[in-house]
Amino acid sequence: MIALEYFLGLSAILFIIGAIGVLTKKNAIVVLMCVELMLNAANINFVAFSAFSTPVNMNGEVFALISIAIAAAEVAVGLAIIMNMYKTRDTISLDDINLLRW
Amino acid sequence: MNKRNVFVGIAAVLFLIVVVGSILATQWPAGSLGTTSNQDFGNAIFNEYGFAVLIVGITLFVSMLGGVYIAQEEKE
Amino acid sequence: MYWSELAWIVPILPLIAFVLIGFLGNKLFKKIENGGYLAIGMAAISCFLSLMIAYEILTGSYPGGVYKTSFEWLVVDGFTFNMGIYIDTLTAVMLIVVSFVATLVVIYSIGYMHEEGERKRRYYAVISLFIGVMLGLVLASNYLQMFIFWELVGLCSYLLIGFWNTKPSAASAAKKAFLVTRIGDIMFMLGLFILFVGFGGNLDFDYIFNNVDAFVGGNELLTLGTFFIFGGAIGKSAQFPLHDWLPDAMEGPTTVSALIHAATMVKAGVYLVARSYPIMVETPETMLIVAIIGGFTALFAASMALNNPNIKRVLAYSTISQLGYMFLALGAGGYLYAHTAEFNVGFTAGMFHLMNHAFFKALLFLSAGAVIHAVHTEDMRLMGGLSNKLKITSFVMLIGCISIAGIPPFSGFWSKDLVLEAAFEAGEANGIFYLLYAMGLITAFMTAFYMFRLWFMTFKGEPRDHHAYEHAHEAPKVMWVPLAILAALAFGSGFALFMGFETTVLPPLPHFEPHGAEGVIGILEAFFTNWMTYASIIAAVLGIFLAYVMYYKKTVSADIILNTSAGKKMYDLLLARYGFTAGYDIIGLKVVYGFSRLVDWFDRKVIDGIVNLFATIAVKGSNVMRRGQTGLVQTYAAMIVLGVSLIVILLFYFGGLI
Repeated sequence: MIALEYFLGLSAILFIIGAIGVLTKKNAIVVLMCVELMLNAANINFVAFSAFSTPVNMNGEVFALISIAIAAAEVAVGLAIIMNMYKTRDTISLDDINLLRW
Repeated sequence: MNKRNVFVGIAAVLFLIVVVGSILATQWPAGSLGTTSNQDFGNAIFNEYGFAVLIVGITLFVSMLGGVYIAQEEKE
Repeated sequence: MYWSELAWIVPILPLIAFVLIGFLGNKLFKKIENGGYLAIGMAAISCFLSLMIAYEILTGSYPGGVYKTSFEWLVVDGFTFNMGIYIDTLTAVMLIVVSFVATLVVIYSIGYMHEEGERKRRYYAVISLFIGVMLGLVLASNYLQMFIFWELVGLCSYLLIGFWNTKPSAASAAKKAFLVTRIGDIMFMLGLFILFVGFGGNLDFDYIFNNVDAFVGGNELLTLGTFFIFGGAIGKSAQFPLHDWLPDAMEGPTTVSALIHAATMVKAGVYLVARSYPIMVETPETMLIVAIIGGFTALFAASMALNNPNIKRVLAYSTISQLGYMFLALGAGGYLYAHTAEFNVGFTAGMFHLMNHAFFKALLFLSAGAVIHAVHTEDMRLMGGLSNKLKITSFVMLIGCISIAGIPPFSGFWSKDLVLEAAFEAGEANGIFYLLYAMGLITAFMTAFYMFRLWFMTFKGEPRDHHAYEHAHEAPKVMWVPLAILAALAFGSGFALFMGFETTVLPPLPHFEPHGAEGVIGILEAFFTNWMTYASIIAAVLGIFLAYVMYYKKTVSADIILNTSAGKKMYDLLLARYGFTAGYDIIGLKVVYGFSRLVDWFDRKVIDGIVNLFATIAVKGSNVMRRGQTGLVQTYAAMIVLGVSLIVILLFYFGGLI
């Protein structure tokens, strides 16, 4: 069957792709989507470990469920913040939000 | 190809190497892909982790309220 | 109850006067001469006590002949420094001289400084301070205490030379005096260090003089130590090459010149050498240097007095010359003793001349002060014929001049003759002393010449400045009474020889008992059967005769010499002090000032530069570092990713994670 390393490798690659997206994209909503991608990668990790454990236990899968729910909550608040940002600064390009510059 | 993208690219490659390297280097205990049933999943989330699920529900509720408040329209 | 036990009061009283006059003078004492009478009172009481103590020690009424007392002052790291009083016959002589002349000078100052106004408070305060510390120096029981008072005396000299501190020449003369004597003081300090190391941390006279053999370090080190101590004496007593400050010190008031630069402070150097006799006779090389410098300075300074037109400068050069005599006598005596371990007359000659010189030099200075007070000028070319107007001053000054010239039976004759005899006797140990004897004899001739030149130019002949002559008046009684007392002493202090000076004033050396002439007849016999006595009398008479012929009868005129080009060059050379003043100016200005500018450049550019460099590094570095604060969240997130990777890599390699 498929060995454990492949699941972990898939999770790592997804995580990296999500990280590149978070660090590079200018649009704030795209950044939020990439954050979702990173969270999903972590979920894959949890489920993989839970599946390969002996005796099989459900901890990983339950935690993945909870993680999905928390991700949803976080996106809700994040989108609300982006809307506020757009209302005050009229832009959602992250390059323009630099009030803490030297 | 601005400077930040190059920099991020390098950081990401480095991170990739580190993570994949550590995955390949560890000795994972021997095991095979097990199967689970939905019955067991349902038992777990409602019997063992029921309290956590309820708290998650409250968290979702609170975040909904927070999101609505933050994104309000200005009242005249 | 002995008088000597009250010795601690003697320096304290003038110091109390200093404090009272200095801090309260203008408030309390305005009516009574701004504290002058208080200064006189304290000086007089100290004088009385000093005379009683001196009498007690000199007649041997105090058991043991030496009064010693001390208390522990500083205990540092195992070394104990004491403060104390040590009175032997040498101290007794100095006490008599210092306290008596000081009291007379302060009485005289009442008249001389009368028109100074508010500044009198400063004058009387510092004069009292000076009397106090000079007495302290004389009574000191160890080298460290002596050095402390030595420095204080230098300070008082500085304050008093610069008394008229708004005059630039006075201020710079005071600075010069302090700096030149400072060089001497540094040498004295080096000598003290050597003695401290060699004698195991104990600088008491009592210990050193009884344990000379306990010196650690060998005779060469001791020679170096005694030479440095003599270096201090060179500075303080204005011997060659540190002589240049004394003629310039005449910028101060004449009473200051009389007290400090004729009778007391400059004698401190001679006192030091006489006090250090027991260690200096162990090092005959130093004694030879003492004698050579003394003899040379005597001739050197006398030559500069020959043509000087300023009355006080002539007296200043005369002081330097006579101090040279004292060092010559002490050096010759010490050298001879080091070679024969027998009594010789050098020590007695030096101290005897010190005592006599104090009296007649103070007399000369104070009468010069009376003349200056009368005609308001110091230039002898503007004086003349004053003996008609200033009868008393002229008479007492004549007594002083005869005394310094060395005509019997005045005091100068006895002591100068003993000095020359000491120098000649030492010739048997080293031939150079014959040369020094010849120099001393020529100096005696010159001394007589320039002193009588001074007297004739000032008091005889036609007045050269009629305005000054018309306004000249005799000094008030408060000024001529001290002059009269000093004149009596200038005449009679020589007779102390007959009262047993030679047998009582002795250094604490073994086998140093006098032999030979005893009693008045014996001493007279010893003097007048010796050919050297007649040689010195003839030299003095020749000098007086030459001065008489040149400045009174005017038959031989000075112009004969001046009209030759060699003579003119010599004249200018003597007035320029053989170029020494200019030489020291160059050293001071070019060398020392140049060096100090170099050091200042180093301090400003290099040392401050290093400090500023650190500041610059901080500022420039921070300018670079702050570019990292972009304010963009994504940059910070990238940093997090990078950081985590680095930590894992580091843990991998150095922490043994896998």
